[in-house]
Amino acid sequence: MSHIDEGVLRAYHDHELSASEQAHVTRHLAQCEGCATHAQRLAARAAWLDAHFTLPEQSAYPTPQQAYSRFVARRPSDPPLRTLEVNPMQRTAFWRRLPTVKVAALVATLLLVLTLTIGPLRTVAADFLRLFRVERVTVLPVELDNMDGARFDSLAQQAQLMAESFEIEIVGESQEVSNAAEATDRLGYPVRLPADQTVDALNIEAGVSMHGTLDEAQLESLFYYAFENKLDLPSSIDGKPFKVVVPPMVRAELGEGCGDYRERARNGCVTLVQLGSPIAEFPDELPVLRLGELFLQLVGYDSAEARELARTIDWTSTLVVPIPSRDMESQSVTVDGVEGTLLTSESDSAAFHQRYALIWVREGKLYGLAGHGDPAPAIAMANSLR
Amino acid sequence: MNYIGDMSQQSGARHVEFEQLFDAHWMRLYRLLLRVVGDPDQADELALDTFWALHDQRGQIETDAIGAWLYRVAMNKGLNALRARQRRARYEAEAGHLHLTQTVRNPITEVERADERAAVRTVLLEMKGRDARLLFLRHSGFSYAELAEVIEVAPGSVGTLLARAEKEFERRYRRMMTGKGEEA
Repeated sequence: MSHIDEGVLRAYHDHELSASEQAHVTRHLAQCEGCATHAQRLAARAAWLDAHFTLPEQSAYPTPQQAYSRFVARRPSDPPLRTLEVNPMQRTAFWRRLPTVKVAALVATLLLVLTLTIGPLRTVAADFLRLFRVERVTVLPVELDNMDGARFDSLAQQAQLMAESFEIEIVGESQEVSNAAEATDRLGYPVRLPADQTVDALNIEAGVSMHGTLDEAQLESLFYYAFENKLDLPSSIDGKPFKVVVPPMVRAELGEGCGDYRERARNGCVTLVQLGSPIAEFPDELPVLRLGELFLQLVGYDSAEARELARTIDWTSTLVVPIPSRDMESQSVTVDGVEGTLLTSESDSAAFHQRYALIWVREGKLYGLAGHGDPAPAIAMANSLR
Repeated sequence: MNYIGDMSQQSGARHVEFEQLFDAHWMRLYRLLLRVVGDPDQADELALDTFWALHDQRGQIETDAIGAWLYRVAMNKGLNALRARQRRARYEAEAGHLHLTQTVRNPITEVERADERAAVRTVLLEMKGRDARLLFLRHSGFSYAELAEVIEVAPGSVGTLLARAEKEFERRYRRMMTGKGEEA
């Protein structure tokens, strides 16, 4: 006689099974001492927990009518925290977006944060400038629940204020191209596609460039609001130029019938993106390690962990990708002749949520492959790029 | 279907629809948040914030998904508020400014109950976010179908996830209480 699964026993206790399943479990429990004991233990634990989740004593609850009057009487003085509203969806939304939106968009978003974290860099033409160029990708496991929505919101608001004084330009032109040769011709570097794969769509998507001068007071205020933390910047940083460039990206939809988002998973579509390394140039005086620490705190690490971890990252050349550690797993894989990072959704996620993304850097280009289900074919595909 | 328009400009019909939505979900939402944060004023404020967030979505949420969306957002707001409060308490304690601000009706039992509820929240904040949400929601009376929607998991996995979360909660709670000198 096979035993009843723990989840079914738990649902049985809550009368959440169908009538026939409920009856089946009842019959089984009458005959199986092991399952009966297990069921009793689960029931006792559920009751014990119930007793720990009591509501605090309160004479009366506000009625919907009372609450609604207050609701219409005043709009909250603080706007709702955008990140808090986004958070509940973040786990799945991250995966939902990744295959379709593009790694470049992710890179662009990350760059906003990366602009704060770039490191003691190689000197370029001007002595006072430092250069950030992606040479490797590192995955940073983060606990979404440790991320502070309010901090993100403050940071975003302050960054938006700062960005108003920056020059932002579109780099290149978004357009559909017919094959890799045309894409190569337009971008001026070899665009690679996997061998023996149907290309459902091939597009070049415009990049973006942002440049301006740094404002010491604005930067300090940004950190004060976001971290309640004073950032001592050298006054010489004031007025120094900076530049961030995310080059145009090639995006290929591999497979058939990839245009319909709902059918993509069923059709086994895979998205391949490739782009030149995003580049950031910043004044030499930027206290990079400290900024790295604050970035790590922003994504949920406590100050001691952040300090320690920040020292282990080469901020000059590493694209730091925060991933929600509870929902995703990462591993190093050899891909396209280099070491890449494979991100997969956790195995206990619902099957329709399972996703993977493969990210690697080769010869100064950043590549990403994303799709649904088993990642093995994607690795083979990446290895066949030519 | 767009339930929600600009409150200042919306038509009478839409206004009524939003009010009906408010009526239908207010009490459950408020009680859920009260269970999470333990403070009536804060629960009230967070519940109103949640409805404002819904209002700001301006019809971007499918009608069928509004309930799950509301409770998902509320849970998130609640847990964030709890976390912020814990952090604030830690800062204050570190700065030597910790003081008890709660008023108590029956000093002994209320303090014990409040202490117990605080311990429950501490344990829940240490747990996986999904597990904490699952426990708050289930022990607030949400059905398995509702849990599956709010937590975004397959309905058939709720029993297993719940059993696992409860076991984990008990383990952590007993360990914490043992640490405080209570018999496990």
